[in-house]
Amino acid sequence: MNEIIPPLVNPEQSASAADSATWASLVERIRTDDPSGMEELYRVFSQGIRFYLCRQLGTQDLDDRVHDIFLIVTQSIRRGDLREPDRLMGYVRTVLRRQVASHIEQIVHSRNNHADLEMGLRLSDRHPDPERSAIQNENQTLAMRVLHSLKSRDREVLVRFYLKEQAPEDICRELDLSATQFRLIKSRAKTRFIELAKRRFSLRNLVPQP
Amino acid sequence: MDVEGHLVEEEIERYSLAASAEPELSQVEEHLLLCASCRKKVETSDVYVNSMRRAAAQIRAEEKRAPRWAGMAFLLAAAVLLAGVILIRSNATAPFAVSLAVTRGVGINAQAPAGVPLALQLDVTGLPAAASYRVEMVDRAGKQVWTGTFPGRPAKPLPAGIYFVRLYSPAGDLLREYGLEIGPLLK
Repeated sequence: MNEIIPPLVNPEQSASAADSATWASLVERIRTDDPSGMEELYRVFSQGIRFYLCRQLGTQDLDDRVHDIFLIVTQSIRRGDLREPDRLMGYVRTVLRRQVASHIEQIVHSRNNHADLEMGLRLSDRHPDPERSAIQNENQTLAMRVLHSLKSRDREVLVRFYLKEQAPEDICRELDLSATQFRLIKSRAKTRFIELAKRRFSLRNLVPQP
Repeated sequence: MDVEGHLVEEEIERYSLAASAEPELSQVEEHLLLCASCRKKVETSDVYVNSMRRAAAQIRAEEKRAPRWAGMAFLLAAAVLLAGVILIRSNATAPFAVSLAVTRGVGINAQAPAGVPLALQLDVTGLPAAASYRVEMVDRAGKQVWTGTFPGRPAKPLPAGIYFVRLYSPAGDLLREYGLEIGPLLK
């Protein structure tokens, strides 16, 4: 009779609810080649890994990259590289960051060694997505409407914060604002943006889907 | 994080702005590996931050083109007087706007004329949000010919040839590369 293994983590629960002993159990199952361990690892981490890779590298070859990550993590666990099983999340994150850095280095290296245009590689070889571009332009238009609807001082606050990346405390000092006023300006602008977006199109289209 | 261990608004915004520092960055990224609801909030925040940045850059560009009239009436007459001269001179050196986007396959689609400043309009779709990116232009042999930022000042005029525009994150990571052909416009 197959043992029924309870789910490791409810994806909607906070990560802090994960039991470190359960992480250890998962790592042990993977280490001993238990298929349920692989399935659990995939179920728990696949969406998060896809999210990270998509955000860093785009959607090209995403499935292959996710597969590579799982391969690396499981091989590492079987080799005994993961010394603290309850640090599995941190380990997966480290593997992700290294893979992203390695991918970019590879592309740059290929670019430098292939001056011939016919053989050149692109860092992100994605065909332009007209729908994504259209949604992005729509969102920019909405943001412009929000900025134009503000008083010049409030608009200056947001331009300095989002474009110039000026520190909040510097903005407050130079524009004579309290921290509360600063937070209110940001919060109202964001709320207004989301309201306009909901009115313009359904909220699920606010975020271009890969 | 809040009492339930989820990301709070400020943490999400800092992450979208690529402004999270350790140890917060580790905590945020590890949490996002597991939490679908916080990932959704980050996605929305990314869209908002990116849109605001683009809009803010556009606002700044508009402000630079449109001088403030209030309190500057005494300059208006001088501006009108000089307008004819400025208009004639600016036409010869006005930056040429060139859109750069990544394309599948071989060949370079972006073209620009030689000998004029280049206002680079870079497709940053899908890249980590940043207030500005470092930009480097190299020639076909990989030799650097210009550096700047995006958004930022136009690139200097360059002679005819094949160039590559490289986009770097604030941390110095190479994010994207675009091809550009400079020479007489072919189309």
